[in-house]
Amino acid sequence: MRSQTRARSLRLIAFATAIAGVVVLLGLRSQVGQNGPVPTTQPVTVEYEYAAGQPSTWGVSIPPPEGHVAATVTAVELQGVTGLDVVGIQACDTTVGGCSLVNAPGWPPSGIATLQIEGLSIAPTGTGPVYQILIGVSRRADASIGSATAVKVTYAVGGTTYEVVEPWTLRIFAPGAMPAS
Amino acid sequence: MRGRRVIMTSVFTGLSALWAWAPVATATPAAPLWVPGLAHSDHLNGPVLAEGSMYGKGGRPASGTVYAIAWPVQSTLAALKDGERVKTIAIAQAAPRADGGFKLRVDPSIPLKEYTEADGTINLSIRGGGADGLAVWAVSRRMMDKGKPTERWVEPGGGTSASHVPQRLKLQLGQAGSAALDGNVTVPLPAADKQMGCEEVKATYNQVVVAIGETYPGPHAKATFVYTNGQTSTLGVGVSASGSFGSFSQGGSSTSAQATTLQFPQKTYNSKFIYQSTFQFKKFHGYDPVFCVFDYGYEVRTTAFSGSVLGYDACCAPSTPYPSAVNIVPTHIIKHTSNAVNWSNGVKISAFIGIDLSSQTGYSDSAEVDFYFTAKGNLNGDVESGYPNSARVKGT
Repeated sequence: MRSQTRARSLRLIAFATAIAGVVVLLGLRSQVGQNGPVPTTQPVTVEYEYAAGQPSTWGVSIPPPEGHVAATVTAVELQGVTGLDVVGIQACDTTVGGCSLVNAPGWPPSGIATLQIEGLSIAPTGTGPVYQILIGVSRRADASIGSATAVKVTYAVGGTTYEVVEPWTLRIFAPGAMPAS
Repeated sequence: MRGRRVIMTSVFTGLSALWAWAPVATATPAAPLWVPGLAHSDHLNGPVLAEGSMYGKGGRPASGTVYAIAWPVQSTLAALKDGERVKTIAIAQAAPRADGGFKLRVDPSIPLKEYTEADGTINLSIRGGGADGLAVWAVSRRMMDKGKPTERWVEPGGGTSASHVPQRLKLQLGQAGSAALDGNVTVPLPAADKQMGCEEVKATYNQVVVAIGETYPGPHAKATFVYTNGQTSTLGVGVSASGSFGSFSQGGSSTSAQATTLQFPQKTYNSKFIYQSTFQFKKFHGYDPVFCVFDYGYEVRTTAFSGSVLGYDACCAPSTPYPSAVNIVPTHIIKHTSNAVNWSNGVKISAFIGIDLSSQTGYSDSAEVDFYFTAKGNLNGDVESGYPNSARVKGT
């Protein structure tokens, strides 16, 4: 009887320890740093006209990390999305075939070899290829303007996860609706 | 003059003796002087305001004292007339270590309100003194994340990037570049009045022309430059031992924030244009912050934004070898200006002091260049990662 109680206590302690470990691990995983080595660039806004329901590509270059260590991209997402469907997010190597672009018709853009964005290794300046984020977007038919206000890039450096919210804005107008100046 | 110097040195010696706590040496006026009541940075834990190294003759590390002197906000400086005193204040002091290195931290008991611009920027003169003379270097700082664990002093402007980390300062005692100063007592200011500071306005220069922006739209785009409320410009500070024409050298920079918007006319295809506006500058004569007697030479720094709309056609565009294709037209690319564009002679003030000074347009959420592509082309940048990371761009 006594040994049964002891065994039960040990099982309870082991279970509690395992739960605590999982909680700690989850806690560590959810800690995301805000001031990592990938810098925030100066704000930029891209505006163009495009038919509703038709996909187009918006491109922006990932700023290289400061320091000497590469960063690994784990996720990219648009923020402040209104009247817009995101149809895909990929990447391309700007040193291969000159894929660097501001915008292009269609998704994925024709003639460009795209890469999966997750797992991409971004090297510090001068130590590796420069990658561009290619974002496929489509303005919704019920929106005269489709827009996104920022791009959040989540990445890892040396086992630590960071995120940077880049001040990159996109606005897609209905044809003929964009102000000229 | 020599007699006056002897008298003032005697006064200095007497006062030093009164302040027994202060490690003041009397061999030369440039020996360490501590500002009474101002905490030493080594005893403070706050964020570093400025750091660097102080060197003496032969490039050897120098001992002595380093101060940070805060300047009143620009609206206060602009209102001062020639001959009036300026209410500057010493906000930090430190002694360089054996290797010459120093770190300045702000004494938290010093109220900074009347020295802090609306965007949080404080303009400073970093002054070093030692056996080999004196040195002055002008910088600006802005508090970021105040009250948070990440609280720190950064370069002015609106950015959040690590590129705003202030650079280390190099104070070279007794040499041009950080003012060729000998620390001698010349004509002292009237008795030290701590409410008035130890600077005096010697001259005012209005309508000094300054480069603030550039556009090179290329054959497929037009460009519009807007210099907007909240924009900041970092403008060079001239320093001189004598204050005479031709004796000035560049001695750091100060930051001017604008409260008005300048809308320049749109520039058309294939244009190359440098945008200019005007600022007020003043020449100040500075003294030590303890007695207001030891001569720290002259500074010419910006004191107000005047706001004229000027500019000229540039001869040539910068090198921008990294293109990003614009394949859908019409397209606007609205790029906010970067403080990485630095014109070494952007402040046209040579008619007054003998040299032009640098100018640098700062970050802002509301100052912008709008490239309006009406035909397919490229936006070219000056760094490998192209747009939006490039400070300088042009259309092709």
